[in-house]
Amino acid sequence: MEFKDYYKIMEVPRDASQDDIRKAYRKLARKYHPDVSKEADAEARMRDINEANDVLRDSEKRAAYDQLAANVSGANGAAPGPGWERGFEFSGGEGQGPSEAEFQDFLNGLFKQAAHQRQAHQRQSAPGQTYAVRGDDHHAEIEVSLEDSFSGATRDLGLRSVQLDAQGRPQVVNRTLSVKIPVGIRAGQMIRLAGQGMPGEGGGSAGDLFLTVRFAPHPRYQVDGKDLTMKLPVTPWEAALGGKVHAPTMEGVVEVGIAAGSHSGSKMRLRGKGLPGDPAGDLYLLLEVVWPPAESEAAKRAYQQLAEAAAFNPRLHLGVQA
Amino acid sequence: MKSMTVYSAVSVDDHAPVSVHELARLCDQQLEWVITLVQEGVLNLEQQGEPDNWVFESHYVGRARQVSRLQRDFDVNLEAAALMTDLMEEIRALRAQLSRQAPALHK
Repeated sequence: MEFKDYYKIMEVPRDASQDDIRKAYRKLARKYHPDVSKEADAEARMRDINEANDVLRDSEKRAAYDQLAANVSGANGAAPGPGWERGFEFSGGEGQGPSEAEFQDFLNGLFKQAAHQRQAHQRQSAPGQTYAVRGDDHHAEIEVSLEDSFSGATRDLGLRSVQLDAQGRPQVVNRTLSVKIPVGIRAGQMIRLAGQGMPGEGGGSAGDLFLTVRFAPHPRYQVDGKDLTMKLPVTPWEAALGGKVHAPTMEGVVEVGIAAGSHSGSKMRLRGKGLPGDPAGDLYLLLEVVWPPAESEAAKRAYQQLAEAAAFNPRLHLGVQA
Repeated sequence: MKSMTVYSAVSVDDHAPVSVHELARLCDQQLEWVITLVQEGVLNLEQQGEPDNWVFESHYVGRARQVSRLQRDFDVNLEAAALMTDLMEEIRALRAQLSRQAPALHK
């Protein structure tokens, strides 16, 4: 696994006080906490920050970490400075590396739940007895398109997790799952894949995988729950006189009637043409009047005729003459 | 190697909600913490009967997990975490509304 420089992650010097670390954490959490951050890599950064904070805020874990870092740097012939990384395993042999207890502390800090489960297992399982521990649930996000929600597509999802192997060593496990997206799924909704979380121990069942759905931005539709909104450009004469126009929907092109006297910002509802559901969502068409350019002589003439015919002053309410 | 098996995901909605025990586990909290959340109105749902029979759909799971994260990461009490969660939900709703009305202005 990758050695992480917790001091670098926390943006503090190696002799930082507990107060410095607490302040640094607050500052970084404000910037990278996924609940408050708009940074693209907020979630991954916050995971590292939490991991670093968890170790550095605890004096025992910090000491164990410092010793580990010193040993690794000794073996490497250089201090762990900026950009310093190397793969290593926690093997903890005699006379080298941190002691068993320190290592255990360190591990506990990093892989609290998994280590805790393993210890519980060791404590409670006696020879001849079986002791089953259910695997942890796993959480991730999945980005799907509106089309996926509409038709229920199958998407490949790459997952990365840290698991302890039989010797208690943390291992990064990569895997790919093909996931069938339920029809009508909405942003923010959670979906569950039973048995696809962390494996259980001692015959215990595996945890579940929970995925929170996020929609990829759509070039045409804005989404609100299961309702969709789309801007529909119309000509001035279609808006003024009314008429039938074609509009694309998730299900294909439909003909919609524009009421006479419509204007930019007029909203029309196509019931049941949003995301599938019971009942299905609606599709709102937001009319946007688009004026043809006065490029040809004929078009210029038409605008002049309109100006004479309409005698229209849109600034009347501002108290000025046309 | 790519897995060939296709796994069907199930929506955590009113047809397949999570149990109160599952919610506690999902939040890395004890059952009592979830009960407090419901009793204090942080999870404003109409649950009837014994806590053992309570069930939760996606919205409540997301909300409870956020409250738990905020409590842990910012070291704040339940009231503060609940207030932060309310404000964040409001900001998310306003941002979504803004992006529907003026997509070009909203990044």
